[in-house]
Amino acid sequence: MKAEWFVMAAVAAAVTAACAADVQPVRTHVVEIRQFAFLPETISALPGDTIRWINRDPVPHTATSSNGGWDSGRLEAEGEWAMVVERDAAGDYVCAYHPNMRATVQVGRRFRSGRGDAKRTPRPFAAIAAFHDGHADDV
Amino acid sequence: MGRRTFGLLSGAGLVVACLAVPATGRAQDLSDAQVAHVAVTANTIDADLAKLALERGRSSDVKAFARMMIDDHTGVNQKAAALAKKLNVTPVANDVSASLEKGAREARANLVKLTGAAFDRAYIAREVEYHAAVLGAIDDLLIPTTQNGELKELLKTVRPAVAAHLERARQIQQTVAQ
Repeated sequence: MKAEWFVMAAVAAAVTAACAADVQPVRTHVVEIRQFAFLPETISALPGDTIRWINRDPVPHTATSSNGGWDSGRLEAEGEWAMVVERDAAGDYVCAYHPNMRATVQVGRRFRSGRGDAKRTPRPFAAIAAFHDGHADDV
Repeated sequence: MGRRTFGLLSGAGLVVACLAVPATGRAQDLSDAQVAHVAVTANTIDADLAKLALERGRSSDVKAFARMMIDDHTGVNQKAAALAKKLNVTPVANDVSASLEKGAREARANLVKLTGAAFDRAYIAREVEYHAAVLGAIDDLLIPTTQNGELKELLKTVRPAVAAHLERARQIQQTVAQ
């Protein structure tokens, strides 16, 4: 009986620790605009993450969604703009002034949230889900 | 200018500055102060011509391109001016910048006679030739001849802008030709 209680307590502690560790924190991804290119060219983010664009060129640029969903507006040299990622932020974007500058935002599915508002998923399944969502470019 | 020659090629009523570097020559003729003057001049004359394009052009693509020229060349010149001040360098006029200015005056003289679609075609053709020539000058003269590391770095930073302008001008050239 004592041994059973010990095993159950150990399992409970392990599950609690796993749940705490499994929380996926929101992240900030940085895109540098440098030499007329968005670097990196593809960002894979999750809803709730933040993407920050920094213009390192001496000329103005924008980061403008091709489907019209979001727009940084004019970013002067060394200017910055940040956007909290929503599900519908996914897609190609361009610089409105230099339409040959093209890049992509990919938005995966968040199975857990650092804000504690999403359902929890056992770690192996979360790892598989993150893999399928291609969430691997955090800066 | 030594053995370096800057000629003016005239074609279809347009004039662009053209660089010719002798095979035996090395790009050592321009001082950093002269390079700075060339860079500022090249930016200024293209921004000025873009203002004419906003007045006389018709195509929305051409006008957007002209706005881009004003923004970008002005931005680069601001950075160049800040760097010159930091380095305590006063840009010095030279044959290359004089050649660029002469070409710009002649190009403008031809363009002011045109309006609408004819202007669009001539302006974009000039921009294609001009940016191709400037790109060649950056690669073959300005970057190799520049001694100061920060000025050289600025030129390397500007190069993608000129290349992007050339690419965009070529795209628009296809549309205004139709």
